[in-house]
Amino acid sequence: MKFRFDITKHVAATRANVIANYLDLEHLDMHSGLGDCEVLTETDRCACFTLVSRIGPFRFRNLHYYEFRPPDTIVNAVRSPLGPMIVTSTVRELYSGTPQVHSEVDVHTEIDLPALLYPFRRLLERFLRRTNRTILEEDRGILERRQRLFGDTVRDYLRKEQHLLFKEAFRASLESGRS
Amino acid sequence: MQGRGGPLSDRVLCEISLAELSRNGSVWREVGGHEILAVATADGVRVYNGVCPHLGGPLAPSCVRGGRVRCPWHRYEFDASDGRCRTVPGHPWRNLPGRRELSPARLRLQPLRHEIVGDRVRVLQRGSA
Repeated sequence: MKFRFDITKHVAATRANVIANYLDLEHLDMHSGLGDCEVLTETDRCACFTLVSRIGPFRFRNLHYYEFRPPDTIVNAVRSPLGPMIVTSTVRELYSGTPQVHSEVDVHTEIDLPALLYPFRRLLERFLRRTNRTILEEDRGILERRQRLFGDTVRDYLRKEQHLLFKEAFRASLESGRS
Repeated sequence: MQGRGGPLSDRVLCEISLAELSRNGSVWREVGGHEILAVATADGVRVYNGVCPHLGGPLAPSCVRGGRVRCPWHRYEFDASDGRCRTVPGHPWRNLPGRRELSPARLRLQPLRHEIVGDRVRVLQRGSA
């Protein structure tokens, strides 16, 4: 039984910085509830990886299909314990240039809940919103510090030795001035 | 103790007490937009830019342990004695066949000019009168 909800997040960083953060899988261990990511396959704009979610004493290794739709959208389809979940994140840069830089991230979540869990959908929504808020707060530290130190540039994400999902598609998106 | 003296025109960014450094093992300062990490190592005092050369993570004293500086963002580890990147995290591409090998050799903590004067470490910025 399908269940949907939306979250809007605000962050003082450029769209390019926010997208780069989404594509940087190496930092996931920093998040309190996430870790042990392993990429299984990757093409120019799509990847499949496993990622462990920690909820209290429980650990769930979820399978993710991840897609970058340049210049501003990330689709994350997850086979989760709650049921199949599709999270679509769209980043809009409202103000450019430090210090007034400001982006808005719309996160649309759709879960196909088993009938047994459907009556608890509001409870699950509260839990997922809280988790999302926690992850944002942890990412905000990275995004706002990087914005303060390096301004709008994300060139360091594109270095040869840097691992980043869909690096060439991201580079092309930046060079075309669309990200 | 190793000192890296500078010409008279160098500006003193900050001074760090050797006693404090010896007591805590490392000291962090933020001065005029510069983040400074001083570490007491077996080879003497080392002073680095407190910004991780990987992607800019904050290298606070809590990152220093056992002669290594570990960035909290991506867990890259640097040797406190020479600043070289020694350990990289178990990155997500580790088991993908034929994929990129991680080459951290180009990553290195940025050393800051400093000199030891009496019981203090002076951190210097080049070129200011």
